This record gives sequence, C-alpha cells and structure tokens, in this order.
Amino acid sequence: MLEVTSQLTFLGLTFVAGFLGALMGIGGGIIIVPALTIIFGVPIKEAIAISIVTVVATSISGGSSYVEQRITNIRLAIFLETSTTIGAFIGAMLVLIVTGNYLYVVFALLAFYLAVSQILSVKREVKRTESNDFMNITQDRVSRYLNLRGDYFDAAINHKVEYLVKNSILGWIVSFFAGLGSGLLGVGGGVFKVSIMNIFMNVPLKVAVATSKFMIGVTAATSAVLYFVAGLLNLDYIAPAALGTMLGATAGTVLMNKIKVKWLKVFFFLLMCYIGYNMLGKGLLLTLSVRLPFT
Amino acid sequence: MDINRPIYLVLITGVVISGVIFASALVLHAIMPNMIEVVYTLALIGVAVLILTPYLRVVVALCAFFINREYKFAILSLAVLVMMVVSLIAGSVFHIAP
Repeated sequence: MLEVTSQLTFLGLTFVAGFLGALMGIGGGIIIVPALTIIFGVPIKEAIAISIVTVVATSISGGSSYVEQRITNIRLAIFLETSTTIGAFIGAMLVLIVTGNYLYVVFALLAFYLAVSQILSVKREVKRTESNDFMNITQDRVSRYLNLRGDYFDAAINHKVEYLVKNSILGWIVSFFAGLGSGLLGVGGGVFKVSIMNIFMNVPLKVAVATSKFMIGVTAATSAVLYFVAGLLNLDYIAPAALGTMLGATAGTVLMNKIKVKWLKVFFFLLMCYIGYNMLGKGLLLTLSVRLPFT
Repeated sequence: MDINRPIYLVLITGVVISGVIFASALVLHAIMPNMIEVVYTLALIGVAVLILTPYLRVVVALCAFFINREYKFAILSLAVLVMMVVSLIAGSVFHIAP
C-alpha cells in the first residue's frame, strides 16, 4: 500500500483531473494515465484500469450534479448511448482481429477538424446563447419524432436557453464511430461526444458537456467490470483515485455553468488540439515509425 | 413524472455510498496501517458499488420512461441495457481486458 503522503498527493492530482473532466464533459483519462505512469511509475495496463474506474466515478458524481442542475438532456443521452455502446462493443471485438493503429490518424484528423470548428463557432455560439437563438432551426424527422429538445438556465448570462436538436441520424452515426474508436483505442470517449452534439446537433455547449458527462459512465462501467472480474485493478490506488476524481468532478460542475461559453470553447479548442496531436503522434509512430516532437 | 428525479437519486446514492466507503478505506489505512486486508476489501466494495451505479441508472431510466408511457425511450433504454449486458458477457468470454 502507498504511504499516506503519496496517497494524499495522488488524491490531489485526481481531484484536478476530475475537476477538468467535469468542466469539459470528459473522463479525464488523458490526465490520469500519464500522471500514474510518469509520476507514480504504475505500469500502463494498471494505469488504464484505474483510469477507467475513475471515469465511472467522475461520470456518476459530475453526472448527478448536472442532472440536478437540469442541464443534462437525458433523452438525448439515451438516444446516443444506443449507438456508442454498439460502437464500443464492435470496437472491442475488432481489437481481437485487427490492429487499430491507422485509426489513430483518422481520429487525430477528426480531433483537428473539431478543434477548428470549435474556435470558428465561438462568436456564433455566444451570440446564439445570449439571444436564445437555438430554437431557430428546422428539425429533421428523427429529432422531431423523438421530440429531442430542451432548455437550461445559463448562470453566466442569467437567462434560460432553449434549443431544438437537429441532425439526429448524423449524430447517431458519428457517435457510433466515436464509440468504435474508444473501444478500439481506449481513448476519446467524452471529448468527441461533446463536439458531436455541439457542432453537428445544435446542442448548446454546456448541455453537450453535461450530457456527455452523463453518458460516458455507461461504456466505462462495462470496461470497468471486465477489469474488475479479471482482477486487474490495483487496489492501492483505487480509493484515493476514485475519491479524488469524485470530489474534483463535484467542484467542476459547480463552476462550469458560471463560466462564459466563449472560454469553454477556447478550452475545448486547446484540448482537441492536444488530443489530436497526441493521437497523430501515436498513429505515425505505430504505422510509419515516425516520431513527432513531444510525443 | 419528472425523469430527472429518480435518475438523480440513483446517481447520488451511488456517489455517496462509494465515496463514504473509499473515504473510510483511506482513513482506516492512515490510522491503522496493519489492517491492510480490510482496506483492500473496502476498496473492492467501493468499486463494486461504483460500477454498478451506471447499470442501475439505465434500469431506473427504463422503468421511469415506462411509467411515463414514453415507450420510445423505454425501448431505447432497453437497447442500451442489452448492449451493456452483451458487452459484459462477450468481454468475459473473450477476455477483453486490454
């Protein structure tokens, strides 16, 4: 077992991961996995197993808080969960047959595309949030059939924002591939979900963050059970990691709605660039043996 | 019925129970370092509660939508639950734990 001081350090570190994860609607594995392997010297497989458990922890703690604040769109979440779970399942099965190495490059390109879309849509989203303009679209047939819509109270600008969901089929298909990617590569569960909802489906960014946070627990729980049953969980780290991310996520959810959408978009741009670059680095290394700087 | 309510209750119950268990594991380890077996058992129980919560959340959503007569969403919830169980079974059969 770890010493008490390193447990506390670890708790603090996972607190930060949980906090950022809640702010962005992501799991936080991109912070926890490198922290565990580099700072604590945990083998990569154990680090991934621990990070999956923390994803479940942050999803239910952050998710519960966003549900209470009525930002999460539960119906939209369940609609998209049907395709991400299928995608994740097929992805996990494909791992047994093919290697997903070239997929890193595909997802890197998607990440860059979404990064650029985020930064280009800042002005428009701010304007639409402030003038409550998310209703001014035509819904497709599926969105209308499922009556996918909602509203939330934006605490940064102090008024209610209503929205209609559009492009449900496209969103469903892209979520399928996001699930496939996370099943194959074990990365990018949350970050793609947020951008898909926000960029393609006319969902305000804060709702996308809350809904993604709510969704990621479902696929993560399934992987977590598998690690649990296989006895791959390192119990030395689990308690401080889970507790730290839970507390951090709760703190993050309190802050998120108070931040201006503009800044959230900028954070997303930076995050997507970072993820895109990392994935590109991994992909090029595994397929062409080319090493990018800083990867 | 407002579906936010039951779903919130499931999630927060899972958070509180597992949080308390993890916190007691940490405190116990700090004050009685030789009771390591108990600490590990607590951590295991905490993880079990944690990963059971999303499953329970889908089940509760399924029931809530059904009671609300929102059958479309009840069916979608059922599909999610089926996929979760199928992945679980396939995962344990094919030993998918990368």
